[in-house]
Amino acid sequence: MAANDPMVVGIGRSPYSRNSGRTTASLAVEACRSAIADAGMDLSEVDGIVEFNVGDSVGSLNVAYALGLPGLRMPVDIQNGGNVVTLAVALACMAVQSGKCKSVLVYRSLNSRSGQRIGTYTGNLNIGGDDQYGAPHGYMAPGQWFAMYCRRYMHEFGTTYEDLGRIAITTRAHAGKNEAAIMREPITMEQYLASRWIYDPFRLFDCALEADGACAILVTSRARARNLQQVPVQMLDEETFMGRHPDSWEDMGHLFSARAAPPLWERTGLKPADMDFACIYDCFTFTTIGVIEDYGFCEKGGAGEYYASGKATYGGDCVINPHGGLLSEAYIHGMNHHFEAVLQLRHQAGERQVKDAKVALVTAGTGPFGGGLIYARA
Amino acid sequence: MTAKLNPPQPEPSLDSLPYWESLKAGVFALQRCTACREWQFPPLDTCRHCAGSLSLQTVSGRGTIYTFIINHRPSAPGFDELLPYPVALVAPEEAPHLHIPGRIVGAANEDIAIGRSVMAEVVDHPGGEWKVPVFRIIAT
Ligand SMILES: [Zn+2]
Repeated sequence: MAANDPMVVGIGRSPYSRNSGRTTASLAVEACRSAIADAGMDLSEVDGIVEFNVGDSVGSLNVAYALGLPGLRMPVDIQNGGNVVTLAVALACMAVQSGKCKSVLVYRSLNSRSGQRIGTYTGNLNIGGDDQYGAPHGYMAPGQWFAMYCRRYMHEFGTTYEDLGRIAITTRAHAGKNEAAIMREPITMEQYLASRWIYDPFRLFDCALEADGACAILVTSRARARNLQQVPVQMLDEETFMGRHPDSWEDMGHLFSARAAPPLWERTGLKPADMDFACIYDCFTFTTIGVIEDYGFCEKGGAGEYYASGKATYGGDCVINPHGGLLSEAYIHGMNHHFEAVLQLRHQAGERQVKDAKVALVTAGTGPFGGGLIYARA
Repeated sequence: MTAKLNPPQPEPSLDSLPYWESLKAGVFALQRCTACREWQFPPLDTCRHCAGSLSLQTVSGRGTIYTFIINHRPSAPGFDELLPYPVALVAPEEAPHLHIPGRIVGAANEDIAIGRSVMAEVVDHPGGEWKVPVFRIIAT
């Protein structure tokens, strides 16, 4: 235990919706202000911001200006997607631990439903870069890349469509107790199987719920956290592994998590059985399957049974995505997983509180790139 | 509805231009290192294994389906009439660790499966000057 241990002391968010009617700047500022107020911190204590975007958001300088931060010393804008969420949090924590910053905000703000939507177009396209090889075949959306992984995974480990469905159904059931979740109506296996195909093996209910909104957390040191108003949540450790374009990954039966999980468990001395709950980045149902199997919550090919037998929900082994995840709460690009993890560890999750929650895994990303971190109630 | 759109056109970089020019000449070729003999895709300036120089080498076009999807909604313009259309990642015979994206042609979607043998065909790409490799299932 050290005075400079990194702690999450504040969480904030805007409403999640399908059509915010607002700028990403407005959403980001609301989420950040809310996180600062939640902590009870003075603006002068916030001197760092880390955010990530895919060219669809507001930068840290503009948010700092709009918030009226009197002394921004570390603006970090990462040009990447859901694969860098835990890394973004880790950077904030490193800045606090090293003394570079007093307190650091991490936010994600996007209009992923009403604004720039994945896989939509209005005219002819010329495509360079990584997608110049796939795009001429009508292959350029993340849902297509990871459907490729899913098909291969099903081939290697016997994962079935019904297994994918179990993830969608359980995650939706969890969202039913979350007033912030956009989709709260329960779904049955029949409804899952009847939902329309998007990119077979993915149906509609396999895909993240594109949404508008922003979410932020505030990180500071253990020493500073003592003067604030919330129970602090410590970030124990983080591990990221990054590959390049999903098509280039040689073994689609093992995701980034096969590389990122072992060092995290080894360094922390923790194991899946120690996790009271987990917020798994679930851009697709398949991502949850591949990631929890790689992290060792169950054997390869065992995630469907893990869910079917109730191990991933209340009363089981480890509640996975108590908020409803990206599938049913909202696609806030994985930042919402951190909000939920902190809320649960502060024992403020109300009706969906995981009893006595003390430690949790949060992951980011899928396919060849992503990471995971562990939070603990301090 | 809007006017019929063309599929996306590739916008080559200096590193990928020789690959596309080769296809334009009807030849499916992949980069190989002149020093360590490793195959590479997508094209790079130098070898990622040994920093050696790369040359394009014609490949047989034979490969196997590593994985595939059936697209029931388009992610790009120009595919509405083909729905639902299959796209595969093909492992070339000479370099099975590589994954080349391409449409599967001439097969019913139900007949597409991981591990099936395919042969590349270089075909005209609508809407421009380029050609692309597509894959046809062949008997093993
Ligand atoms: Zn070489």
